Amino acid sequence: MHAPESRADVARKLARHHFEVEPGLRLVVFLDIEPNDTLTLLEVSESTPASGTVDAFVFAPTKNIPYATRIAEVTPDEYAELCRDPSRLPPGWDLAKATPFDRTTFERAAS
Amino acid sequence: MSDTEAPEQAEHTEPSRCAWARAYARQSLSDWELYTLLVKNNAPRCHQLHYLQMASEKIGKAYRFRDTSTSPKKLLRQHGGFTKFFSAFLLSDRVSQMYESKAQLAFITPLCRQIARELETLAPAADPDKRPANPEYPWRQGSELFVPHDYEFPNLSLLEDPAGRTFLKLLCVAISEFEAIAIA
Repeated sequence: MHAPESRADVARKLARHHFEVEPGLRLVVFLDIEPNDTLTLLEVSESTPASGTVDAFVFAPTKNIPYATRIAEVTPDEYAELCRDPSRLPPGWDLAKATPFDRTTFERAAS
Repeated sequence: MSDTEAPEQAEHTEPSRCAWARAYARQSLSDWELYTLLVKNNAPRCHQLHYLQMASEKIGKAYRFRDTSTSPKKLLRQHGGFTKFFSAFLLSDRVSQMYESKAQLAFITPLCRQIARELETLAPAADPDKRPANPEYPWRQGSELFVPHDYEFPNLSLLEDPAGRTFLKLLCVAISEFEAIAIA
C-alpha cells in the first residue's frame, strides 16, 4: 500500500498542472496552513481581474487530489501589495509558511 | 430548525455557513433551470442573460461560503466575484477529469474566463459608468437610450460558439454537482 501523498507533494503536482493550462499564471504559492486536510493555493495571475480582496473558493477532495483545494487568485500588483502588507490576507493565511512555484520550477525539473 | 425548537429561539440562531452555501446553490439551480427554459422557448435574449447572470453570481457565492477564512456576514455583503470563482473552478480537479488533453483545457480556459468576465459585468451594479449594458434596466450612452429587450449583447455572442457551449456545460456541472464538488 502506498503512503498518502503529502500536501506539499500534491501542491507541487497541482501547481504544475495549473501552469500547463493557464497561460496568464505567474506564480502559485502553496501555504502550509490549517486546516490540515486542505491545500491552500494563492495563485498570481495576469488574467484575473483586480478586486482588492483575496477571495478563496473551496473544492472537495477527489480520487486524484486527496485534499480539499482552496484556491484564491490575485493579480501581480495585488500580490506585491499582500507581500508588503500581509494584514490584508485572510485570517490564518501566513506568507512565512509559503512555498512558491513559478514556471521555471518545472522547466528546471524537466531539463 | 428542529420541530421542538421554539420560534423565538430560532429567530436568534445564525444560519450555518453550510446552510448559506446550500441556499445559494439551490437558488442558483432554480435560476439555471429558468435560463434553460427561456432558451428553449426562444425568449428575448435579455431575459435569458438575466437568469444566466443570476445563476452564475449565486453559484460563485455558494462556493465562497465554503471558505472558512471569511466570515459569513462579510460574504453576505460582497457582490460579484463570479470571474474569480469560475477561474478557480477551471483549475479544479473536477474540470481536469473532464479533459483527457491538457492542450484542450489550456485552449478553453482563457475563452471561458472571458465569457465569465462578460457575464459578471452584466449585473446592473457591476460597472454602470464604463459598462452600462445590462439585461434589466434601460441605459443611456451619450444621447442615445438603450432598452435591454432590443439589445443584442454582442459581447456575449461567444455563448453561441463552441467555447460558449463549453462554458455553459462547465457552469452546469458547477451548479448541478455543487454538493459533490464543494467541501462539506
